[in-house]
Amino acid sequence: MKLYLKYFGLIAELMKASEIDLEVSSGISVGELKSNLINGNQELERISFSVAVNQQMVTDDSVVCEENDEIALFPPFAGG
Amino acid sequence: MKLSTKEIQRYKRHLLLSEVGELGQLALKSARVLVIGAGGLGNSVLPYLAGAGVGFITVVDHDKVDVSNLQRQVLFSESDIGKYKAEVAVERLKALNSEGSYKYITEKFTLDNAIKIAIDHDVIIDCVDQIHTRYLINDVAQHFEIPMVYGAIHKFEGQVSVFNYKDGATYRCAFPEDKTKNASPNCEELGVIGVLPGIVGMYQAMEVIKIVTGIGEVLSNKILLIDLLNNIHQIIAIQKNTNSKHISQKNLKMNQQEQIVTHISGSELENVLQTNPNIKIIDIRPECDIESMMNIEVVHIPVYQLQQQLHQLDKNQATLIFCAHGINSQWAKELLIQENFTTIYHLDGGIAAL
Repeated sequence: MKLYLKYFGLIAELMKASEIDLEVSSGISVGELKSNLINGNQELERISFSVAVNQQMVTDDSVVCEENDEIALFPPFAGG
Repeated sequence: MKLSTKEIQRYKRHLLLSEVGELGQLALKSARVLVIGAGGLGNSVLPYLAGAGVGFITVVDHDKVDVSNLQRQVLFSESDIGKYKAEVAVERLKALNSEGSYKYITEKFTLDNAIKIAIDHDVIIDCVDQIHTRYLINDVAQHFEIPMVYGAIHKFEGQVSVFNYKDGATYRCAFPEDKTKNASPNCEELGVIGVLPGIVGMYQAMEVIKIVTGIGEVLSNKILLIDLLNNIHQIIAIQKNTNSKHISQKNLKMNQQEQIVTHISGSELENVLQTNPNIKIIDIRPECDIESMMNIEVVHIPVYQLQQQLHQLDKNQATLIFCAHGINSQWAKELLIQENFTTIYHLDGGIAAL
């Protein structure tokens, strides 16, 4: 199934994109998606970031994604 | 309270707005806000709040103006290079609106001074450039049960939110602290487009105005993500995590006990009362014969009734306790600490020391 990913701040820089469509196996959880992304880019592991599914932040990694969900990855910004 | 003729002229454009009106303007006049950081965000927040008629503004920044700040920190001029940012900012605010009261602090906002700096403000505006200071601001805002207006920037992107508003989600709910991860780099390390802090700071100023005047919908339990390069404005809902509060309390507590209690001698009493006209004075002696100290009313709560009557007191108000010899008041002091009173003065030696 397809997910629509949005990256913010440092994540967008590491992933070299601000938004992408990603093909994943159906029933994938937020935690599995995070592991997949980290496997593809180890540098992601050292950054703290939050995840939102369809504009709703989720803290539970076991939340299951559904077809066409919009997943946002956003780190806290330091600058002021 | 009413607005003066001068104020009616100055705030004419606000008064024309039915949402603001005289009541809103008076609310702004009574507001006491704390702006931490007088860099990019602070430079944007401050003139709009002073211009809007916010009555009391404290500016905290330990940094000095550098030539590389002038690309975005619009309160500063070339002649300010090398001067304290907080001091220059307050000078500009006075020139902009002499009706307001302003205070500047050229210290770094740390665990050691956070409570003392933040006491007696209604809102904290987070304009700093370090993540760990943002967690501290969050914890202090929780401690005083006041909102934290968050703004943060990264190159061309910004984040805005109001945390801890009416017991809503906090910074720790949006970004749980993970000390094993690297801290995000700041503008100094990454670069930033000059317009960005202007825009994000103005969003923060608007949230402050909404909080103070009670109009519109405050950006609470949500975070606004802004991407100026792609013109994206996205709002993400955040859920409150009750555990965040415990982490905040734990974080502050390490340092809190020593900070919130000031032990004073008989000779220091007059000075303390002069500098804290809003202080609550409590006489816990069983028999009391003092009705006031320097025109401040003394409340009489015998020591054995203190625990039952504590709920009548405002724990965010500075509180001075004394007894006959400073012995019972030691116990009372511990009780106030346990009950999360924020600023406690203890008269060492009691009345006998006067």
